[in-house]
Amino acid sequence: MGSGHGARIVAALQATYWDRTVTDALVDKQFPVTGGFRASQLTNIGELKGRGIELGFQGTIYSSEQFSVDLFAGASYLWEQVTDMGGAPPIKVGGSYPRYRNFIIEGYAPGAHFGAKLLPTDANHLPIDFNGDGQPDSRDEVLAYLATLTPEDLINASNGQVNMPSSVGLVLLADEDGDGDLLDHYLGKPTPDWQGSFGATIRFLRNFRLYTAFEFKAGNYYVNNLTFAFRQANAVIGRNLPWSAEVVRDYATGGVDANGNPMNDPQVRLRALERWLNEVLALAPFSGLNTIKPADFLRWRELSLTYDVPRSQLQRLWGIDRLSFTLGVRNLALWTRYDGPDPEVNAVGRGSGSQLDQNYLDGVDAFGFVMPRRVTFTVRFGF
Amino acid sequence: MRYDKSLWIGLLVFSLGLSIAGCNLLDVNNPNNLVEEDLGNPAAAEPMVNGVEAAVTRAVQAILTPYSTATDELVWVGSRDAWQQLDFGNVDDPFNEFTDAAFPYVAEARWWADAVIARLEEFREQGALSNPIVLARAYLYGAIIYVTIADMFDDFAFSDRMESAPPIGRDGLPQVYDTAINYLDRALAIAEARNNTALQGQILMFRARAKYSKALRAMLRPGQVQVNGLVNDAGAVADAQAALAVVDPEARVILDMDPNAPDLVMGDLSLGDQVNSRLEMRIGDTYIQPTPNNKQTQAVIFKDIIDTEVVHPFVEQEITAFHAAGLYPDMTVASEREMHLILAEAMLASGDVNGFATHINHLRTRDGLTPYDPNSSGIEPIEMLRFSRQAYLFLQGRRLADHYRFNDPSPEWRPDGTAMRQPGTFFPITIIERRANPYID
Repeated sequence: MGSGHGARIVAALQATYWDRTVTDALVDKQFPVTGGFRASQLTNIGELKGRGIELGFQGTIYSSEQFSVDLFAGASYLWEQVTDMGGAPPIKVGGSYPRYRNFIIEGYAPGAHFGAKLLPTDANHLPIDFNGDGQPDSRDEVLAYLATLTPEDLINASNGQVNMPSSVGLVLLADEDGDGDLLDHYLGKPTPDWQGSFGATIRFLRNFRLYTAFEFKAGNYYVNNLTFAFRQANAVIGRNLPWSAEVVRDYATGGVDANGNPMNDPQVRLRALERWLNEVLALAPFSGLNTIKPADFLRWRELSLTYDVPRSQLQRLWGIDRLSFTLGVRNLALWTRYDGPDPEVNAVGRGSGSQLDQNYLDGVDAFGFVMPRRVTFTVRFGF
Repeated sequence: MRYDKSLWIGLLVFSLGLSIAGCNLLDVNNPNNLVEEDLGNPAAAEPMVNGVEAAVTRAVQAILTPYSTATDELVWVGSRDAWQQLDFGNVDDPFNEFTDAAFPYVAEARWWADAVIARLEEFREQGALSNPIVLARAYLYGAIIYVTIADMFDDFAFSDRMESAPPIGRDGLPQVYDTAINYLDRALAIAEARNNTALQGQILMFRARAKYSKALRAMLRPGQVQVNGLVNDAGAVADAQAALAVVDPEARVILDMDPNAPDLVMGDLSLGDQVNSRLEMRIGDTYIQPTPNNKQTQAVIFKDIIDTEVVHPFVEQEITAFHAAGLYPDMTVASEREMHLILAEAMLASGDVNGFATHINHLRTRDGLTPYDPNSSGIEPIEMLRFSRQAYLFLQGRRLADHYRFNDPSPEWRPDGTAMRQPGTFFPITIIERRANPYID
C-alpha cells in the first residue's frame, strides 16, 4: 500500500470458508441395558456437518523510525451439527452425572446443553402446584396457601434447614415434546458462533513497544454455571450466596422486622417463591434449570510494555547482543453478561484421548478457579 | 563378489521368512481370547455360575444403596444431591443418577442369570453337566435378582441383547416373582436329589422370602397401600417351616463381598464405599448417634421396644459388622430370623397372637431381650411386628415396603416427596433404558 513522509502502510487480509461433512462417525450407541449389556458399542453410523469462516487481518498502519502501529484481528465463525446418529439414542456426556448437561443429539451442535425448564405459565399463574391438582396454581391460590404458613411449618427443627419447594411434584416442569422426559430441553450450546481476538503493537520512542490483545466469544454461547448452582440451590452442599440466602429467609419468614422477627407476609413469601423458581432452584432433579447461562464475553487479555535496549548500548558482555525488559499484565478486564465466576473455566481439561468427555464436555463452569490476573516482569536476552 | 554374496544371503533369509509366514507358522491363537462359542463348553459351567454370583452380588449391592437411602436406614451427609432426593422420598425419578447408574447392573445380572441357566439346562439335557449343584446355584442367584427387581421396582423390561422388550408394568411384577419361585423349585429338586441339606436350607429360606415378598408386594401399589396389611401365604409358611427344620439358628443366605474381588465394588454406588469410605451417607438418626462431624457412627442408639434402655443387640451387631467390613459388607438376602418373622406374621394374620409371640420370642430371647407378652406389655402385636422387622431385617432391602405398609414414614421424607404423596411407589425404569428402548416413551 502507499507510503509518505517516511511512513509505510502494509496490510494483509485472509478469508477462508470451509464446509465439512463427517460420515461414518463412530457413535457410542447404547442398546437397552435390559438386554444384558451395560456397555455402549462404537458403531460407524454417525454424520456431522460443519462449516465456518475464518477471517484474519494483520497490518502496519503507520511506520517510521520512531513510531509504528501494527494491528491484528482474527475471527472465526463456526456452525456444526450432528445430522445423523443412525438411530442411536442421545448420548449424554459425563456419564450419569446429572450436573453435566452436554449431549450428543441429532439436530443440535455436539455437546449442546439440555435440561429442565419451568412450565410456561401466564402472568396470573406460577409453575407450582401446592393444591395437588397437577395444574399451575394461580397467584391468588399461592398467596392463600402461603398465608397459612409459619416458619415452624417450613423450618426442619432437627437440622434448621428450610423446606423450599424442591420436588417435581410441587414445581412444575415443561415437557415441550410430550415424551415424558423433563430434562430434554435445548438450553444452548457451549461453542460460540464467533470467537476471535484483536489487538495492536505500538512502538514509540524508537525502543518502547506497547502490546495489547483482546479476545472474545459471542453468539449463542452458553455456559453451565455449575459453581453457582452449588452455591445457590442446596443448603447442605454449600448454599452461600447472599441473594440465595435472602430468598430462603424471606420464604421461611415472610420477611423480618428490624429485630429479625418473622413477619409472615404472604406477599414477601410470594416474591421469594418467584425468585426461588426463576433464579435459585437448580441441581437434581431440576438439572439445567437456572444454570445454563448466556456467556458472551470480551476479555482484555493482555497489555505489556517492552523496552528494547539499543544494541549500541550493549557492551557485548558475555556475548549478549539483544536485551529487553517487559512488564506485562494478563486478564485485565472482562466484559460479559454471564453471571457466574468465569465463562472460560471448564470442569475438565482437553486431554490427549478421544473419549467423549474430552471432546464434548465443554462450557461447564465448575471445579476450577477463575482466570487470575497475572503481572509479569520479563527480561529477555540473546546471544 | 562380496557384495553379490551378501545380496544372495539377504534374499535367501527374506524368502525363508516369507515361506514361514505363508505356512501360517506365525498365526497363533491367543489363549486369552474368549469367544462366545466357548461358553457352550460344559467345562465352563461352574465359572459361568460364579460369574452369575458376582453379577448378582454387584447388582444387589448397587441397587441397595439408593434403596436404603430412601429409607430411614441411611441418611445423606455428602455432596451429591441426587442422594438427597432419595432421602426426601423421591424414588420415582428416572433421572436420579444413582438409581440410573444401578439399573444397568440389575439388568445385566438378570440377563446373565437367565442366559447361564439356559446354557446349563442345555448341558444337563445333553448329559454333559457333571455337577448339577452348579445349576441349582444358578437358579438361586437368578431367583435373587428376580426378587430384587420385583421388590424394588415398579416396572422393568426383559430384553435380550439388542432385542428390546416392552415394559411389564406394575401388573407384571407377580410374574417376576413367579419366575423366581419357579427357579427355586427347580433348584430345590436338584439339592434334594443330591442330598445337599445345606443348599436345601438356603433355597428354602429364599423361597419363603420370595413367596412372602410376592404377597406383600400385592398390598403395595403407588398411592394404594393396604396399611397394616398382614401376609399369610401358605407357601411362604410351609417353606419357612421347612427351612427351620434344616438350618441352624443364625443361618443366612448371603451375597458374599470379598476383598479378593475388588471389581464388585463400584465407586459411586457400593454400599460399603459410599457409607464407610466416601461418607456420602451414614446410618440414619433412628439408629445411631453420629460423630461430631455428622459423617459416621459414634454409637448405636436404636433401643429395644420393651427394654427401652437397652440398645438392640442385633441392630448393634449388624451396624458394627457393616462398618468393620469397610468396602466389603456382605449382604443378607434371607435368614433364619426372617423365617420366624414370616411365621409370626402369618400367625398374627390368622389371629393366633400367642403363636405370633412365640416366634418373636425365639428371636428376642436369643438376643437376651425380655420376651414379648401381648397381654401385659402394652404393645400391640402389629407394632411388635413392625419393630421386629425393622430390627431383624436391618439394611436388607425391606424397609421401604415396611415404611409404606406400616404407615411409618422415614423422618427424612418431605411432604412434597413421592413417598409421602404416593406411598407404595418404588423405583422406575430409569433413563438409560428409556432412551434406548423403543417400547418406552
